[in-house]
Amino acid sequence: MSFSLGCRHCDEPLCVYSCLTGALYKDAKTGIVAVDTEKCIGCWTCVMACPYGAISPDTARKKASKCDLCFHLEQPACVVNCPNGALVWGETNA
Amino acid sequence: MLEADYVIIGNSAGGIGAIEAIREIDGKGSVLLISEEPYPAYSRPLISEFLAGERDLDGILYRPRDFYEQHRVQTLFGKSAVQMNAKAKELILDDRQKVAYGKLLLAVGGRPIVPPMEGLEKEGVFTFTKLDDARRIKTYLAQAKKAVVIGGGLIGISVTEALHKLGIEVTIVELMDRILGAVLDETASRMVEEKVRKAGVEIRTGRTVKAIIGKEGVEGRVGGVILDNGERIPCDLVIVAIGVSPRTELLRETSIRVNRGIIVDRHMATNIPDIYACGDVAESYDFINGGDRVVPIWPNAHIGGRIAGYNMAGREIAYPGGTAMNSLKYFGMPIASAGIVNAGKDHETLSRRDDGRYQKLALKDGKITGMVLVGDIAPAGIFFGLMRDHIDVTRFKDSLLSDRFGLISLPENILRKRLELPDLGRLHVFDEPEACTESTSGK
Repeated sequence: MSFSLGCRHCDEPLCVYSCLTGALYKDAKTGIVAVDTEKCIGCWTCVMACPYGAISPDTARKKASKCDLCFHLEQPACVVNCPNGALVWGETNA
Repeated sequence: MLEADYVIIGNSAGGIGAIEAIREIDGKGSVLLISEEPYPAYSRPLISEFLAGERDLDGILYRPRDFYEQHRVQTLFGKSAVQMNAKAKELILDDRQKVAYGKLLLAVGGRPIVPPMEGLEKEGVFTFTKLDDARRIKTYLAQAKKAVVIGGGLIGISVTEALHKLGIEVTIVELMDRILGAVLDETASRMVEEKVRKAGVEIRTGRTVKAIIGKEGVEGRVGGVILDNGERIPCDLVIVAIGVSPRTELLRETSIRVNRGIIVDRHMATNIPDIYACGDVAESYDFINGGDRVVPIWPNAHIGGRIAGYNMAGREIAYPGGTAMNSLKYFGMPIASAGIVNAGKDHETLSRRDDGRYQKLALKDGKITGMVLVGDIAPAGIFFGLMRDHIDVTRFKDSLLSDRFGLISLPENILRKRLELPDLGRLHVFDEPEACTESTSGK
């Protein structure tokens, strides 16, 4: 059993603070926490630092894997592909 | 004379963390960074990949090349502070230049421990904590086939792996009865040991190197080592990888309080006003043993540096504490450990082991105080979080080491509380400029 808990793009990104190589970063404009896969060495220190378990060790690619809200796309792929439109994408003031 | 509002000595995890925090708060104050290494900040753990030829300097940089410009930091690379006058708030550099500071951060790190032994002066003896060490070893390898690595800890195993990738035959000599004894328990040590041996690396445990001997015909060069039991191991180079100790030599003539490392409070401040310290040179709060100690690991240095930076810039934020935590991959085997790894009888232990996987948690008074994970480290983050926040896991401890364990396994009241986000003082730097000074604390 599981429930959906993706990366929360924390204000205090412990994964970014713990990253040994500088591969993880929090984008200054969008606040999105993302992985530079060129720099990631798959040491999994970030996996250990994230209290939400939101970073997965991608053992095949040997890179940390996490939700980056598909920042390179117009909308996250999960939202675009949700068959019932249950996932929505937008900003709130919460 | 140079002067700056903020002077930072040390250009690694802690120094960079401080710069980032200072600039979140103070865009105007002048920042001067002094570093004896002539490079922009690089990832120290990656020097083994550099040595192995897998990454060049650009590939191991910790921040983009324009980081200093972006953060308006004046840099003095290749210079070191040799004297300090805390009363006059001045430093003297090795080139006799004077530097006046408003606030000072000592993020100078550790120095490799090299115990006295015969033959240390020979050509071919190295330590392995800096990029220049990796560079020197790389050059020397042109004439080398065999290496002896003294110390089977984190640095020792990482340099061993790099040398092994380059086709060098390596023998590790470890004083304890097993490798990685400080970060792993016995079972995990044996698993890694088997992996390392299978790769063709020799390991001698319970042994020390008594003397480094010269090469036949070229006495000034390393030709082998003699162990305390008399065994002679021929080799072309020796790497001393025993560990690091805080670099406190700059403080000798000051009244800054030093125990093993520089003593700091939860604001990373020393006993002298306007002087702060963080990282491998400092003794900082350990949330597992509840005291202050030197925990020379990268994440703690960076977070400590951030906290120091905030406080230097006038924002009072307390260091939440850190503890020993290491996540690594040696010879393809992932391992993660934290807190108390060799728990005594006063601890309850949960563990499971199947092919290539081993997971162990140490519990005391219902709380996780230590963990060792080998092979599958995916739940490490949730465990570490529960450990850091001293959550009583009694009610769900049976689910901790099950394949289905996840945050959902936590009782709802604990889970809801855990979904609140931490606050270490960071500002919403990604907001619109006018919101920059708004704080996110006090929720």
